[in-house]
Amino acid sequence: MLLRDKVGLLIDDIAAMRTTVRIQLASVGLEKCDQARDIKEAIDKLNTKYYDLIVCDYNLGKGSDGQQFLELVRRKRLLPMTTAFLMITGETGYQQVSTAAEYSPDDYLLKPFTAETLGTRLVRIIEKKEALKPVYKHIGPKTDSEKALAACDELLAKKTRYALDVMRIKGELLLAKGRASDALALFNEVLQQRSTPWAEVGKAQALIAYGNSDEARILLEQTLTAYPNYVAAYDTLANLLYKTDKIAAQQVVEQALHVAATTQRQRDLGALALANKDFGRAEEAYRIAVDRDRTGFFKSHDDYAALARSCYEQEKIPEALSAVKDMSQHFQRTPELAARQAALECQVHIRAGDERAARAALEKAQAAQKSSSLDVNTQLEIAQALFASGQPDEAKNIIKQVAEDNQENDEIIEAARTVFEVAGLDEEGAEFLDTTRKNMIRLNNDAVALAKSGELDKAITMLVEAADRLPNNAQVAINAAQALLMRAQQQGADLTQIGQAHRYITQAIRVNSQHPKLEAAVAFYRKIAPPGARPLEV
Amino acid sequence: MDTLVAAAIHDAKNALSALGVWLDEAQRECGSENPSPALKQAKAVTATISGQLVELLALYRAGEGSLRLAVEDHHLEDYLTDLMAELADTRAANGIEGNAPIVIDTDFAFARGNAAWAFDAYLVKFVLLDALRNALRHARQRIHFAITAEPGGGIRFSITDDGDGFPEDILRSESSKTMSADSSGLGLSFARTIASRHATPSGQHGRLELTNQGLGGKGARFSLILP
Repeated sequence: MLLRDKVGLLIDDIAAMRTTVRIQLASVGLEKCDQARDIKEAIDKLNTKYYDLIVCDYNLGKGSDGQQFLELVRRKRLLPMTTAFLMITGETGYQQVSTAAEYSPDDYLLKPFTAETLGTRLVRIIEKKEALKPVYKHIGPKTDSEKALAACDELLAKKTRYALDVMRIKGELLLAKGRASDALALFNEVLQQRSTPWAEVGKAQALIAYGNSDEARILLEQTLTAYPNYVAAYDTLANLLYKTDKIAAQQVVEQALHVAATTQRQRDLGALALANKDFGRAEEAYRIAVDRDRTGFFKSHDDYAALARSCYEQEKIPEALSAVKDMSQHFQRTPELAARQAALECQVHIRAGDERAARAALEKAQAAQKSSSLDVNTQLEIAQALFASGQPDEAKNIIKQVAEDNQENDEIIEAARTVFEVAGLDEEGAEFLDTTRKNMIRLNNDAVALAKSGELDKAITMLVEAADRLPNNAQVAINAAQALLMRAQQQGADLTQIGQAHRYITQAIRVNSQHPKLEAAVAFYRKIAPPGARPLEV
Repeated sequence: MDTLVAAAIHDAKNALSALGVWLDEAQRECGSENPSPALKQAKAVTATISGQLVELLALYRAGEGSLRLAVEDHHLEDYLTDLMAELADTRAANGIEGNAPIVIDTDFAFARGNAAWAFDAYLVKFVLLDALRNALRHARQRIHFAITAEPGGGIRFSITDDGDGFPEDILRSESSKTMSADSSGLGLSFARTIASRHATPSGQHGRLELTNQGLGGKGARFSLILP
């Protein structure tokens, strides 16, 4: 029996269900099976052990669900694609929440089920995992999309029964690599035989990558009419509309909420409602997110901050203040939390016209900022409070640092833009961020020009200064390493310089291990580094 | 969110599944070497009602505008294997056929050649099991169950028997008249709804086709065509 030598993990918040399923699993041969009752326990287990298969209930209580868990562990690269994942769902909770193949369970099983059915399904997905192993081993923790694509082509040439699964993965790899026309051709090939939701959405994504937004929008709307349960289509459409029509994007997320009311989708809706100044709706959505995730794994300062803002924008001062106060109950007391609360309180007090309290709160936030290193969202919150307090220059100083440091992170740049927007400075913000971006490009270009004209030392001084000041800017760190390696190549490798280059490459890997320029820098390092230099772990 | 009616149907279904567990327990108390025909029949009745509740719930949701199919790719061969296994279970439990078992011959060549199709596996399973059980009730000796490619796109599941065929009023009417003497017409209504709710972005829809061109030229032929 195929299941005899496998190791499984069963995740369910209800003890009785764990016992029942555990017995069923044992009766079909899976004796070695650990159990977890929530996401935290499951993650602890995954951190210490390899599992061949995971059986996970969709409803995990505490506002969290199996889909959230699957996406989280894939993103954190805790769950290799070679591990089989079976999602158990109740009949009314039977929702397709699948997005990319990477975030889709291998199969769904509806309750109630017999041990025999459970066994058959598990054997089937394990067989599939085995057949697709040549592809899966290059996706996930060690992504090498070129090798994965080559493995796809090899499998397709063999005409396996899993050809469609391979096509789906290949399409996603092509999209991720930005090869829009190849992806489009692939999805069209599938659609020529028949319609299927993933290929329709894939085609729309390829059209978007092509810049053909209008056609993509029409296709996505038609796809939703035919497949109203296919959540990935709502998400793709909402993302597409986000850039051009936030009101329409909010309506799409509202529709998606009817299909699958996940906590994450409440957050997405709240964010759009805030952007659309629909503060009442934003308050509702964030209140649900905060209530559901009170003890959950995904709770975040950001939800409370957004809830507070939704309230004070409606002049609901006591509600806003209590949202801020609640944070003390639900989070660990850290300098970050204190700074976030103070920055929020400052904004609420300004709304309420209490200048003295606002000033006191702002001072507290600024003191925290000086004494400890805060995360980006807390820094931006302080910038927001500074704008509200009539100190735009101080606010811009913070935003400049954040934007330079996180130049390649679209999400953070968007968050910085939103700070200007909330302060009523939309145009100034766009211009300011554009200038920051250009400055960073110029810094890199100037350094490269200096290096080329022989002034390598000057280039290195510039880049090293920038890389130390901007620890989250992978591009700058890579360029600093490249320049150091060039000098080592020209003047002979000394271990101090090589060590410095090592540090900057490691810095870049920490920020973004998938950075397109990283591969060349790593190869250069390995070529130049003398024996005895620290090896690079990539 | 589900309305009161949907929630009540769902509760009833949960209660039935609890009843099924108790019936199993009762059989265990009787001793498994001594199977009780009455308990077996009772178990089969719970399965029938449970299926009817699934159909009722789907029709109710369709009326409310909240029925959303879960369309995804399914390997046709695996799907049909599971379906036939489930049918065998209910045949064993139901005893619909009396003493001379009816032969079901299948033509799944298309499924073996074409790996997957996108449809709502759960709801379509109820449509096909209903149609197969209905054919078992009316067939004399044989049933033919096939999956084929539909000219112009789509797939066709067809279930043909060698009985007397559908009554005239069912063939004529679009409405949900009785599918068989002992059923309320729920099954056919459900099948029509599920068929037509299957659609593609380019606007093709699924449908049912009922004819009396079955085996021997007069038996019933039930076809479910999915886009």
